[in-house]
Amino acid sequence: MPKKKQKASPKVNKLRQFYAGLKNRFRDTHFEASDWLEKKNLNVDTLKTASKGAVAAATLTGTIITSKPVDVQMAEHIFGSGSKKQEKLLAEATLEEHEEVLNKMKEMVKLPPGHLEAEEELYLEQQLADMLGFEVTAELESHRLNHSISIMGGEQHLRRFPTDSLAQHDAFQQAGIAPARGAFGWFTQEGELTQKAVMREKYYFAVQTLYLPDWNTSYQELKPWYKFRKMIAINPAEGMAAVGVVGDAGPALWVNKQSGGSPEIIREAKIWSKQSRGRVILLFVDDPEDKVPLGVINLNQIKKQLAQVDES
Amino acid sequence: MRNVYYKPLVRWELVDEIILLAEPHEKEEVTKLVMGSLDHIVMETILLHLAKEHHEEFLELCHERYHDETLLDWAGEKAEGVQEAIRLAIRETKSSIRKLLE
Repeated sequence: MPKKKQKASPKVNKLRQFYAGLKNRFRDTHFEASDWLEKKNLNVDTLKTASKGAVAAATLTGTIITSKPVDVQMAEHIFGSGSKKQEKLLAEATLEEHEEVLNKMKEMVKLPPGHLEAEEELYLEQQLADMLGFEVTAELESHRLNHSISIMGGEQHLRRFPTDSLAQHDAFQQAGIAPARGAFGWFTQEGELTQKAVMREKYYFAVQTLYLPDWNTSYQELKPWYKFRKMIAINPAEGMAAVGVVGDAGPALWVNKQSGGSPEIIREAKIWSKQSRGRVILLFVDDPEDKVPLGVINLNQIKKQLAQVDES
Repeated sequence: MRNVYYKPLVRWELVDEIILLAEPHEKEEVTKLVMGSLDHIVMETILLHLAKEHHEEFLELCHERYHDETLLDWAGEKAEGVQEAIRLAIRETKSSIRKLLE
Protein backbone atom coordinates (compact mmCIF):
# COMPACT_ATOMS: atom_id res chain seq x y z
CA MET A 1 0.00 0.00 0.00
CA PRO A 2 2.34 2.83 1.03
CA LYS A 3 5.33 3.56 -1.15
CA LYS A 4 8.54 2.65 0.59
CA LYS A 5 10.54 5.66 1.59
CA GLN A 6 14.26 5.43 1.95
CA LYS A 7 14.64 7.19 5.26
CA ALA A 8 11.81 5.85 7.33
CA SER A 9 12.31 6.11 11.06
CA PRO A 10 12.50 2.92 13.15
CA LYS A 11 9.05 3.77 14.51
CA VAL A 12 7.50 3.85 11.06
CA ASN A 13 9.31 0.65 10.18
CA LYS A 14 7.69 -0.97 13.19
CA LEU A 15 4.31 0.32 12.05
CA ARG A 16 4.92 -1.11 8.59
CA GLN A 17 5.66 -4.48 10.15
CA PHE A 18 2.58 -4.24 12.34
CA TYR A 19 0.44 -3.49 9.32
CA ALA A 20 2.01 -6.30 7.28
CA GLY A 21 1.27 -8.62 10.19
CA LEU A 22 -2.38 -7.63 10.18
CA LYS A 23 -2.60 -8.27 6.44
CA ASN A 24 -1.00 -11.68 6.78
CA ARG A 25 -3.22 -12.59 9.68
CA PHE A 26 -6.28 -11.60 7.71
CA ARG A 27 -5.19 -13.74 4.79
CA ASP A 28 -4.55 -16.69 7.09
CA THR A 29 -7.71 -16.47 9.15
CA HIS A 30 -10.05 -15.48 6.33
CA PHE A 31 -8.72 -17.40 3.41
CA GLU A 32 -12.08 -17.66 1.65
CA ALA A 33 -12.81 -13.96 1.96
CA SER A 34 -9.32 -13.13 0.69
CA ASP A 35 -9.83 -15.52 -2.17
CA TRP A 36 -13.19 -13.92 -3.00
CA LEU A 37 -11.58 -10.50 -3.06
CA GLU A 38 -8.66 -11.67 -5.16
CA LYS A 39 -11.01 -13.07 -7.76
CA LYS A 40 -12.39 -9.58 -8.15
CA ASN A 41 -8.90 -8.08 -8.21
CA LEU A 42 -9.53 -6.54 -4.82
CA ASN A 43 -8.10 -6.65 -1.35
CA VAL A 44 -9.08 -5.02 1.91
CA ASP A 45 -7.03 -1.95 1.02
CA THR A 46 -8.54 -1.42 -2.39
CA LEU A 47 -12.10 -2.27 -1.37
CA LYS A 48 -12.64 1.27 -0.15
CA THR A 49 -11.44 3.03 -3.27
CA ALA A 50 -13.07 0.50 -5.58
CA SER A 51 -16.43 0.83 -3.86
CA LYS A 52 -19.04 1.05 -6.61
CA GLY A 53 -20.87 3.85 -4.82
CA ALA A 54 -17.82 6.03 -4.97
CA VAL A 55 -17.18 5.18 -8.62
CA ALA A 56 -20.77 5.81 -9.57
CA ALA A 57 -20.81 9.21 -7.91
CA ALA A 58 -17.67 10.11 -9.79
CA THR A 59 -19.11 9.25 -13.16
CA LEU A 60 -22.36 11.04 -12.59
CA THR A 61 -21.44 14.44 -11.32
CA GLY A 62 -20.83 17.35 -13.60
CA THR A 63 -18.81 20.18 -12.16
CA ILE A 64 -18.54 18.50 -8.78
CA ILE A 65 -16.83 15.45 -10.17
CA THR A 66 -15.26 13.60 -7.27
CA SER A 67 -15.15 10.14 -5.82
CA LYS A 68 -16.22 11.56 -2.49
CA PRO A 69 -19.71 10.77 -1.27
CA VAL A 70 -22.45 13.33 -1.46
CA ASP A 71 -22.31 14.32 2.20
CA VAL A 72 -18.61 15.09 1.99
CA GLN A 73 -19.22 17.11 -1.14
CA MET A 74 -21.85 19.09 0.69
CA ALA A 75 -19.53 19.84 3.59
CA GLU A 76 -16.83 20.90 1.16
CA HIS A 77 -19.32 23.09 -0.58
CA ILE A 78 -20.09 24.81 2.69
CA PHE A 79 -16.41 25.35 3.46
CA GLY A 80 -15.60 25.97 -0.19
CA SER A 81 -13.04 28.70 0.25
CA GLY A 82 -11.95 31.41 2.59
CA SER A 83 -9.56 31.83 5.46
CA LYS A 84 -9.60 29.66 8.57
CA LYS A 85 -11.11 32.51 10.55
CA GLN A 86 -13.87 32.97 7.99
CA GLU A 87 -14.50 29.23 7.96
CA LYS A 88 -14.76 29.20 11.74
CA LEU A 89 -17.19 32.11 11.80
CA LEU A 90 -19.23 30.46 9.09
CA ALA A 91 -19.16 27.17 10.97
CA GLU A 92 -20.33 28.76 14.20
CA ALA A 93 -23.31 30.29 12.51
CA THR A 94 -23.97 27.28 10.37
CA LEU A 95 -23.70 24.67 13.13
CA GLU A 96 -26.26 26.51 15.20
CA GLU A 97 -28.58 26.89 12.21
CA HIS A 98 -28.00 23.30 11.20
CA GLU A 99 -29.15 22.00 14.58
CA GLU A 100 -32.11 24.36 14.63
CA VAL A 101 -33.25 23.30 11.17
CA LEU A 102 -32.87 19.61 11.98
CA ASN A 103 -34.90 20.05 15.16
CA LYS A 104 -37.60 21.97 13.33
CA MET A 105 -37.80 19.33 10.64
CA LYS A 106 -38.21 16.64 13.29
CA GLU A 107 -41.35 18.44 14.40
CA MET A 108 -42.54 19.14 10.86
CA VAL A 109 -42.62 15.50 9.86
CA LYS A 110 -44.93 14.75 12.76
CA LEU A 111 -47.59 16.93 11.14
CA PRO A 112 -50.32 15.26 9.10
CA PRO A 113 -49.25 14.58 5.48
CA GLY A 114 -49.61 17.67 3.32
CA HIS A 115 -47.77 20.94 3.00
CA LEU A 116 -46.28 23.39 5.43
CA GLU A 117 -47.59 26.91 5.83
CA ALA A 118 -46.18 29.12 3.06
CA GLU A 119 -43.88 31.06 5.37
CA GLU A 120 -42.55 27.95 7.05
CA GLU A 121 -42.04 26.28 3.71
CA LEU A 122 -40.00 29.20 2.42
CA TYR A 123 -37.89 29.19 5.59
CA LEU A 124 -37.23 25.48 5.21
CA GLU A 125 -36.33 25.74 1.53
CA GLN A 126 -33.85 28.51 2.25
CA GLN A 127 -32.28 26.76 5.21
CA LEU A 128 -31.98 23.48 3.36
CA ALA A 129 -30.43 25.20 0.35
CA ASP A 130 -27.79 26.69 2.66
CA MET A 131 -27.22 23.37 4.35
CA LEU A 132 -27.05 21.24 1.23
CA GLY A 133 -25.50 23.64 -1.22
CA PHE A 134 -28.22 23.24 -3.84
CA GLU A 135 -31.74 24.56 -4.29
CA VAL A 136 -34.71 22.58 -3.03
CA THR A 137 -38.33 23.59 -3.31
CA ALA A 138 -41.83 22.28 -2.72
CA GLU A 139 -43.00 23.87 -5.96
CA LEU A 140 -40.96 23.88 -9.13
CA GLU A 141 -41.97 25.49 -12.41
CA SER A 142 -45.55 25.74 -11.07
CA HIS A 143 -45.62 22.02 -10.31
CA ARG A 144 -46.42 20.86 -6.81
CA LEU A 145 -47.20 17.41 -5.49
CA ASN A 146 -50.07 16.88 -3.11
CA HIS A 147 -47.69 16.31 -0.21
CA SER A 148 -44.28 17.54 0.77
CA ILE A 149 -44.71 16.06 4.25
CA SER A 150 -45.40 12.40 3.74
CA ILE A 151 -45.09 8.88 4.99
CA MET A 152 -42.78 7.11 2.59
CA GLY A 153 -43.31 3.41 2.00
CA GLY A 154 -40.75 0.93 0.80
CA GLU A 155 -40.98 -0.01 -2.86
CA GLN A 156 -39.56 -2.94 -4.76
CA HIS A 157 -36.87 -2.72 -7.36
CA LEU A 158 -38.08 -1.66 -10.78
CA ARG A 159 -37.24 -3.34 -14.04
CA ARG A 160 -34.86 -1.10 -15.95
CA PHE A 161 -35.36 -2.78 -19.30
CA PRO A 162 -37.76 -5.45 -20.59
CA THR A 163 -35.58 -8.48 -19.80
CA ASP A 164 -34.30 -7.17 -16.49
CA SER A 165 -34.52 -9.50 -13.49
CA LEU A 166 -34.00 -9.26 -9.76
CA ALA A 167 -30.72 -11.16 -10.03
CA GLN A 168 -29.30 -8.35 -12.13
CA HIS A 169 -29.80 -5.81 -9.33
CA ASP A 170 -26.73 -5.72 -7.18
CA ALA A 171 -28.18 -4.76 -3.81
CA PHE A 172 -31.17 -5.38 -1.55
CA GLN A 173 -32.56 -8.23 -3.60
CA GLN A 174 -34.71 -9.21 -0.62
CA ALA A 175 -36.94 -6.25 -1.55
CA GLY A 176 -38.08 -8.07 -4.69
CA ILE A 177 -38.85 -6.58 -8.08
CA ALA A 178 -42.12 -5.15 -9.36
CA PRO A 179 -43.71 -7.29 -12.08
CA ALA A 180 -44.55 -4.32 -14.29
CA ARG A 181 -42.30 -1.50 -15.43
CA GLY A 182 -42.41 1.80 -13.61
CA ALA A 183 -45.09 4.32 -14.51
CA PHE A 184 -42.54 6.50 -16.27
CA GLY A 185 -41.11 3.81 -18.50
CA TRP A 186 -37.83 1.98 -18.75
CA PHE A 187 -34.72 3.44 -17.18
CA THR A 188 -32.43 2.63 -20.08
CA GLN A 189 -31.25 5.47 -22.28
CA GLU A 190 -31.64 4.75 -25.98
CA GLY A 191 -31.62 1.08 -25.14
CA GLU A 192 -28.41 1.29 -23.12
CA LEU A 193 -28.18 0.47 -19.43
CA THR A 194 -25.97 3.43 -18.65
CA GLN A 195 -24.50 4.20 -15.26
CA LYS A 196 -27.03 7.00 -15.03
CA ALA A 197 -29.87 4.55 -15.65
CA VAL A 198 -28.53 2.22 -12.97
CA MET A 199 -28.33 5.05 -10.46
CA ARG A 200 -31.80 6.30 -11.31
CA GLU A 201 -33.32 2.94 -10.48
CA LYS A 202 -31.25 2.62 -7.35
CA TYR A 203 -32.46 5.97 -6.09
CA TYR A 204 -36.01 6.37 -7.30
CA PHE A 205 -39.13 7.76 -5.68
CA ALA A 206 -42.75 6.86 -6.28
CA VAL A 207 -44.96 9.94 -6.07
CA GLN A 208 -48.71 10.29 -6.32
CA THR A 209 -48.89 12.02 -9.67
CA LEU A 210 -52.04 10.04 -10.42
CA TYR A 211 -53.89 11.98 -7.71
CA LEU A 212 -52.80 15.43 -8.87
CA PRO A 213 -55.90 17.56 -9.46
CA ASP A 214 -54.96 18.21 -13.10
CA TRP A 215 -53.45 14.81 -13.92
CA ASN A 216 -56.40 13.49 -15.90
CA THR A 217 -56.65 16.58 -18.05
CA SER A 218 -52.96 17.42 -18.38
CA TYR A 219 -51.08 14.13 -18.04
CA GLN A 220 -49.56 14.52 -21.50
CA GLU A 221 -47.63 17.56 -20.29
CA LEU A 222 -47.25 16.43 -16.70
CA LYS A 223 -45.86 12.98 -17.33
CA PRO A 224 -42.71 14.06 -19.18
CA TRP A 225 -42.15 16.80 -16.63
CA TYR A 226 -42.24 14.39 -13.71
CA LYS A 227 -40.32 11.59 -15.42
CA PHE A 228 -36.97 11.23 -13.62
CA ARG A 229 -37.51 14.60 -11.94
CA LYS A 230 -34.89 14.98 -9.23
CA MET A 231 -36.17 15.12 -5.68
CA ILE A 232 -34.79 14.88 -2.18
CA ALA A 233 -36.27 13.05 0.79
CA ILE A 234 -35.19 14.37 4.17
CA ASN A 235 -35.41 12.00 7.11
CA PRO A 236 -34.81 14.34 10.03
CA ALA A 237 -35.23 11.72 12.75
CA GLU A 238 -32.08 9.99 11.52
CA GLY A 239 -30.37 13.04 10.08
CA MET A 240 -30.31 11.45 6.65
CA ALA A 241 -31.43 12.51 3.20
CA ALA A 242 -31.58 10.85 -0.19
CA VAL A 243 -31.47 12.45 -3.60
CA GLY A 244 -33.32 10.44 -6.21
CA VAL A 245 -35.58 10.74 -9.21
CA VAL A 246 -39.26 10.19 -9.80
CA GLY A 247 -39.36 6.67 -11.21
CA ASP A 248 -42.83 5.44 -10.45
CA ALA A 249 -46.34 6.60 -9.56
CA GLY A 250 -47.95 5.70 -6.27
CA PRO A 251 -48.66 4.54 -3.69
CA ALA A 252 -52.41 3.99 -3.91
CA LEU A 253 -54.55 6.09 -1.57
CA TRP A 254 -55.68 3.17 0.55
CA VAL A 255 -52.10 2.35 1.51
CA ASN A 256 -52.07 5.43 3.76
CA LYS A 257 -48.66 6.41 2.56
CA GLN A 258 -48.07 9.34 0.27
CA SER A 259 -44.76 8.47 -1.34
CA GLY A 260 -42.48 5.54 -1.95
CA GLY A 261 -38.75 4.97 -2.02
CA SER A 262 -36.55 2.43 -3.74
CA PRO A 263 -34.96 -0.29 -1.60
CA GLU A 264 -31.71 1.67 -1.60
CA ILE A 265 -33.38 4.88 -0.46
CA ILE A 266 -35.38 3.23 2.29
CA ARG A 267 -32.47 1.31 3.73
CA GLU A 268 -29.55 3.65 3.20
CA ALA A 269 -31.45 6.72 4.40
CA LYS A 270 -32.90 4.69 7.33
CA ILE A 271 -36.41 5.78 6.41
CA TRP A 272 -38.07 2.94 8.24
CA SER A 273 -36.01 3.01 11.39
CA LYS A 274 -37.80 2.99 14.73
CA GLN A 275 -37.34 6.74 15.02
CA SER A 276 -38.34 7.61 11.47
CA ARG A 277 -41.24 5.30 10.65
CA GLY A 278 -41.34 6.60 7.11
CA ARG A 279 -41.83 10.28 7.99
CA VAL A 280 -40.04 12.41 5.44
CA ILE A 281 -40.04 15.78 3.78
CA LEU A 282 -40.01 15.32 0.03
CA LEU A 283 -38.98 18.28 -2.11
CA PHE A 284 -37.93 18.97 -5.68
CA VAL A 285 -34.27 19.58 -6.37
CA ASP A 286 -33.87 22.54 -8.67
CA ASP A 287 -30.98 21.22 -10.70
CA PRO A 288 -31.35 22.24 -14.35
CA GLU A 289 -27.74 21.36 -15.14
CA ASP A 290 -27.94 17.94 -13.48
CA LYS A 291 -25.07 18.59 -11.11
CA VAL A 292 -26.47 17.15 -7.91
CA PRO A 293 -25.52 13.47 -7.66
CA LEU A 294 -28.01 10.82 -6.69
CA GLY A 295 -27.42 9.07 -3.40
CA VAL A 296 -27.62 9.40 0.33
CA ILE A 297 -26.53 12.45 2.30
CA ASN A 298 -25.69 12.11 5.97
CA LEU A 299 -26.83 15.39 7.50
CA ASN A 300 -25.25 14.45 10.82
CA GLN A 301 -21.96 14.13 9.01
CA ILE A 302 -22.22 17.70 7.80
CA LYS A 303 -22.99 18.65 11.38
CA LYS A 304 -19.93 16.81 12.70
CA GLN A 305 -17.73 18.52 10.16
CA LEU A 306 -19.17 21.86 11.08
CA ALA A 307 -18.42 21.08 14.71
CA GLN A 308 -14.85 20.07 13.88
CA VAL A 309 -14.22 23.39 12.17
CA ASP A 310 -15.85 25.07 15.11
CA GLU A 311 -13.44 23.36 17.50
CA SER A 312 -10.31 23.82 15.38
CA MET B 1 -10.05 8.48 3.68
CA ARG B 2 -12.15 8.43 6.83
CA ASN B 3 -15.34 8.01 4.97
CA VAL B 4 -15.76 4.42 6.01
CA TYR B 5 -18.74 2.40 7.14
CA TYR B 6 -17.32 1.95 10.64
CA LYS B 7 -16.76 5.68 11.06
CA PRO B 8 -19.14 6.14 14.03
CA LEU B 9 -17.21 3.57 16.05
CA VAL B 10 -13.89 5.38 15.88
CA ARG B 11 -12.78 8.19 18.12
CA TRP B 12 -11.06 10.10 15.37
CA GLU B 13 -9.53 12.67 17.67
CA LEU B 14 -7.43 9.83 19.12
CA VAL B 15 -6.41 8.75 15.64
CA ASP B 16 -5.30 12.31 14.99
CA GLU B 17 -3.25 12.25 18.17
CA ILE B 18 -1.50 9.10 16.98
CA ILE B 19 -0.74 10.59 13.58
CA LEU B 20 0.66 13.66 15.28
CA LEU B 21 3.29 11.43 16.86
CA ALA B 22 4.85 10.92 13.41
CA GLU B 23 7.44 13.22 11.90
CA PRO B 24 5.91 15.69 9.45
CA HIS B 25 7.42 13.97 6.39
CA GLU B 26 6.06 10.63 7.60
CA LYS B 27 2.52 11.71 8.38
CA GLU B 28 1.10 10.74 5.02
CA GLU B 29 2.46 7.22 5.20
CA VAL B 30 1.50 6.83 8.85
CA THR B 31 -2.03 7.97 8.05
CA LYS B 32 -2.30 5.31 5.33
CA LEU B 33 -0.86 2.63 7.58
CA VAL B 34 -3.22 3.52 10.42
CA MET B 35 -6.25 3.54 8.15
CA GLY B 36 -5.14 0.32 6.48
CA SER B 37 -4.76 -1.28 9.89
CA LEU B 38 -8.22 -0.18 10.93
CA ASP B 39 -9.73 -1.41 7.66
CA HIS B 40 -8.18 -4.83 8.23
CA ILE B 41 -9.00 -5.17 11.89
CA VAL B 42 -12.62 -4.13 11.37
CA MET B 43 -13.08 -6.50 8.46
CA GLU B 44 -11.47 -9.30 10.41
CA THR B 45 -13.68 -8.68 13.43
CA ILE B 46 -16.87 -8.58 11.41
CA LEU B 47 -16.06 -11.75 9.52
CA LEU B 48 -15.19 -13.50 12.77
CA HIS B 49 -18.61 -12.66 14.17
CA LEU B 50 -20.68 -13.20 11.06
CA ALA B 51 -21.87 -16.65 10.10
CA LYS B 52 -20.00 -17.93 7.04
CA GLU B 53 -23.12 -17.82 4.95
CA HIS B 54 -23.14 -14.01 5.26
CA HIS B 55 -19.48 -13.42 4.42
CA GLU B 56 -19.89 -13.03 0.71
CA GLU B 57 -22.88 -10.76 1.11
CA PHE B 58 -20.94 -8.55 3.46
CA LEU B 59 -18.00 -8.32 1.08
CA GLU B 60 -20.41 -7.46 -1.72
CA LEU B 61 -21.95 -4.74 0.42
CA CYS B 62 -18.51 -3.34 1.20
CA HIS B 63 -17.70 -3.37 -2.47
CA GLU B 64 -20.96 -1.54 -3.11
CA ARG B 65 -20.84 1.05 -0.38
CA TYR B 66 -17.76 1.09 1.76
CA HIS B 67 -18.71 4.52 3.06
CA ASP B 68 -22.24 3.55 4.09
CA GLU B 69 -22.68 3.49 7.85
CA THR B 70 -25.84 1.41 7.53
CA LEU B 71 -23.54 -1.56 6.90
CA LEU B 72 -23.00 -1.51 10.65
CA ASP B 73 -26.73 -1.89 11.20
CA TRP B 74 -26.74 -4.75 8.73
CA ALA B 75 -23.86 -6.47 10.52
CA GLY B 76 -25.50 -5.81 13.89
CA GLU B 77 -28.66 -7.55 12.75
CA LYS B 78 -26.73 -10.58 11.61
CA ALA B 79 -24.30 -10.81 14.52
CA GLU B 80 -25.29 -9.58 17.92
CA GLY B 81 -22.63 -7.59 19.73
CA VAL B 82 -20.49 -7.12 16.65
CA GLN B 83 -20.41 -3.34 16.98
CA GLU B 84 -19.00 -3.56 20.48
CA ALA B 85 -16.44 -6.08 19.27
CA ILE B 86 -15.42 -3.71 16.48
CA ARG B 87 -15.14 -0.82 18.90
CA LEU B 88 -12.91 -2.90 21.15
CA ALA B 89 -10.75 -4.11 18.27
CA ILE B 90 -10.30 -0.56 17.04
CA ARG B 91 -9.36 0.62 20.50
CA GLU B 92 -6.78 -2.14 20.91
CA THR B 93 -5.33 -1.50 17.48
CA LYS B 94 -4.99 2.21 18.13
CA SER B 95 -3.35 1.47 21.43
CA SER B 96 -0.85 -0.91 19.80
CA ILE B 97 -0.02 1.62 17.12
CA ARG B 98 0.40 4.38 19.65
CA LYS B 99 2.93 2.27 21.56
CA LEU B 100 4.90 1.71 18.36
CA LEU B 101 5.08 5.41 17.61
CA GLU B 102 5.68 6.80 21.07
